[in-house]
Amino acid sequence: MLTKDLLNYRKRKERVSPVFVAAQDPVLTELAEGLIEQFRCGIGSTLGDLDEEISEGNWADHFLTPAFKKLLADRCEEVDDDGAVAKRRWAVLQSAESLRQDGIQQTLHDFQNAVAAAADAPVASLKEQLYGDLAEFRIVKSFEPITPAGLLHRYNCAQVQGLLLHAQAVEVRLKGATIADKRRFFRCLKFQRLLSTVEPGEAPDEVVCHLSGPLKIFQNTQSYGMRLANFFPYVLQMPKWEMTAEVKLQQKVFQLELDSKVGIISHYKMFAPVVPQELTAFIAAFNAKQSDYTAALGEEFINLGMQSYCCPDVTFTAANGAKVHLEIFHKWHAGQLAGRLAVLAEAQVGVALIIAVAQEVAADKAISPLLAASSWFDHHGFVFKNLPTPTALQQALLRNAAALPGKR
Amino acid sequence: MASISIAYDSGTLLLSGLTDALAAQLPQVTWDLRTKQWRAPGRVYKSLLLTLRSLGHTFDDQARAYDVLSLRLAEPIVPREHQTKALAAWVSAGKAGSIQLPTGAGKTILAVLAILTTARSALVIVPTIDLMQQWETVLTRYLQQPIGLLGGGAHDIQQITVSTYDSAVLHIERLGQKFGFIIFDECHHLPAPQYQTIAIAAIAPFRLGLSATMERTDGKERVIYDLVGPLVYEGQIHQMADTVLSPYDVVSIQVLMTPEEMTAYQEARGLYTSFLRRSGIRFNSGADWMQFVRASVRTTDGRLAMRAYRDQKRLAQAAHAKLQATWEIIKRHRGERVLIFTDDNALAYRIGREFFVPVLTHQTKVKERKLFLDSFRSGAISVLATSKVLNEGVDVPEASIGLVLSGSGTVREHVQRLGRILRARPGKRAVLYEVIAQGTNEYFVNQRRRQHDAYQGPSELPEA
Repeated sequence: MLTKDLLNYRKRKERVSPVFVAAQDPVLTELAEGLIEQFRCGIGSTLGDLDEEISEGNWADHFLTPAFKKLLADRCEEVDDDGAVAKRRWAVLQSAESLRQDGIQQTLHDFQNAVAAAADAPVASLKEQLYGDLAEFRIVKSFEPITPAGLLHRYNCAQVQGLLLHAQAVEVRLKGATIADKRRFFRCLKFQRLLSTVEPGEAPDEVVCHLSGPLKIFQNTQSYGMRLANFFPYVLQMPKWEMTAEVKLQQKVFQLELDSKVGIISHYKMFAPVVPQELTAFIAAFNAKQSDYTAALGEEFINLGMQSYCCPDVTFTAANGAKVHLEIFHKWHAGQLAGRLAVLAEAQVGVALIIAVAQEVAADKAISPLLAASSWFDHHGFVFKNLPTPTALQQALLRNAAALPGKR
Repeated sequence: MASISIAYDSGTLLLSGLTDALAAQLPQVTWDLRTKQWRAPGRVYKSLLLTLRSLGHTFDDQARAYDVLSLRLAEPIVPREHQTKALAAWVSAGKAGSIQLPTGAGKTILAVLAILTTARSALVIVPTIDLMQQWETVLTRYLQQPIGLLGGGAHDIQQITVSTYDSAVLHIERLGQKFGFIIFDECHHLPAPQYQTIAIAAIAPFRLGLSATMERTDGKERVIYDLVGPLVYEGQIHQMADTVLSPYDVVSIQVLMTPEEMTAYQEARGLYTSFLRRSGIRFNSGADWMQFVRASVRTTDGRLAMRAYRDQKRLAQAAHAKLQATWEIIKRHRGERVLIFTDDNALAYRIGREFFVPVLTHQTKVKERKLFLDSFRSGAISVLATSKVLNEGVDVPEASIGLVLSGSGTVREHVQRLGRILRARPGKRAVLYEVIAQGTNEYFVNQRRRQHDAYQGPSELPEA
């Protein structure tokens, strides 16, 4: 990320806007390319030497050089000297102390010469090496590569992150996000220890999320700024989004508004969502049978409460619009099942949710007693062998229709 | 009706089993739409429990994860009069309050007595790693039980744990329920927005704030009184000089820059100040500094002005004559412990290289900073240079000479630096030297900080 002095933004009335660079700008691409090359070739040099080389180069005075340099330096790993310099330093400091206590040298010049003589080294190099393990003297061991365009995108992202560090509240509107997108979004949100309200937006495919930390409802804290900043690259991975943040700068609150049109490419790795073929086949088979419900891939994102979200695998819609959701727990979801049962037991869920549990999970020593004790599972759950069958689902829907909390 | 239970969740309290009617009687709780639960900040734990009890409700307290300790002093402490008074005032305030005592007046010992009085798991928050190590030493000595450390690479949580503010911010959401007593050393740091979270997220019913300088220029000491407890006792530095603090002198030495240095200084300062005038930056507030910083990134003129600003500052701070004055002071006080203070790391390391002395900055690794401080205390090393990390709290009673080569104009920083050399010892008379480059901005900075109480005490203030 960038330090405060490297942020470039404009404040106008109540609004703050980062000043982005054009990711395709040929001059900036050349600048980025030049600096990346210097860092790439700088493996084995010290960060101080690299800094000096850059300050002597063609791009030294470019206003973006300091920021690019910082982002590139963040990609460097330094050699650990294992304390060898500190060991040598201590020997010199002890020797100097002893000479100081003798009090023989009357001038500073004489004293320095005496210390150097005792260390058997010239004064200049002894001085230079004494604190030779400071950051600027550390040797670059490796450099994580990046493309020029990647650096420009990283810069733009860092400009937003730098402002989000001072954010008190963030609202994100996701549009047209698939269930897999939403799953990833909320999983990452939880990973960053953030909380969110989830509300439907104006458009049918829109979700509005207010992101904050647990304490946010009690104080206008900026304490979650780092988490919000770290989360922003995940927002960038969403297909279409709008973000509004309240940013406190010098005791004044400004509004930051951005949307996916800014075109910043996230530097976080993204894994493509996959819909299992078996699930598509199950939905097709269910809809081929006579039923009061129509099955479709789960598209909803349900806040069950207690910081627990559910992305149903399948949603069944009745002719009157009532919806019943199905969440399937395979053996790789066993851990999640325990958490889900606890939430369903305590939270005010208010949604019709059937849970289908794989036989081998249900037989698990840790899970089995939880299922036996779960009133929710008793009323709205069933066990399947390989995959839930359409027949089993029809029975479950019929059996549980009366007991389910109703349409959402 | 479902039974009421209270759980701790990331700095907050989650309440289940509340009816809407009961929740309406609990001003501390709020319905959290995000998780569909009743929630309250950790800090209201005590008042929440008292309210529930007063309303006649029983509850299952799953939030509290701290212990009642059975503590005994490993060696006796005979409190001084001001310590006894301060402790009594704090106990009278319900064991939640702030105490202002000058450096050297025994705040750590007072805290040990407070830990004994509360007999609860305790978390001590300190601003620096050096202070963390110092508290560990004192607590181990008097309480003789394992003391946990959090910060500087250490993550060892014990019933009594010392943490830096920075590490506490990172971990308080997980630790907030594990301590019944929380002590904020140098608590004038607490009003910083990030640090406030520590006090808000912790459930500790017993709280103690300690500082030599509670008052803040922004008036935010009220945040300390709100989060920790009111100011219950206050002792002034000049009331304690010659008794619990050693007598002291403050000596200002004005040195002349070389003609070359002065020319370069005036040129750089002229460039810098003319840019400020052109840009309409007046430095009336902290925002003006950021305006200058941003202007320096955006325009070539601004970049030159920033360079000029740094040059003029460096020239004044590191004038050749200052190095000579430093050498003379080190020679004059041979055999005594000398602490050299600078405003930034660059000058501290320059002093380190010129005089071959250990330098303590935030870059110094934990192992080495312990070696340097221990050696300085034992006398194996007599001169130690530092930028700002030793400004606060670190106990070096043996140090009697302070040498300020550069610093900010803030009174707090200066009083704290003075405090480093004021620990009482028989026959000790401390001297704080300020070396100022004549004809530079340093003179005005020096005048600003001389307005403090510490300069109005009984000691002489000779001008060199």
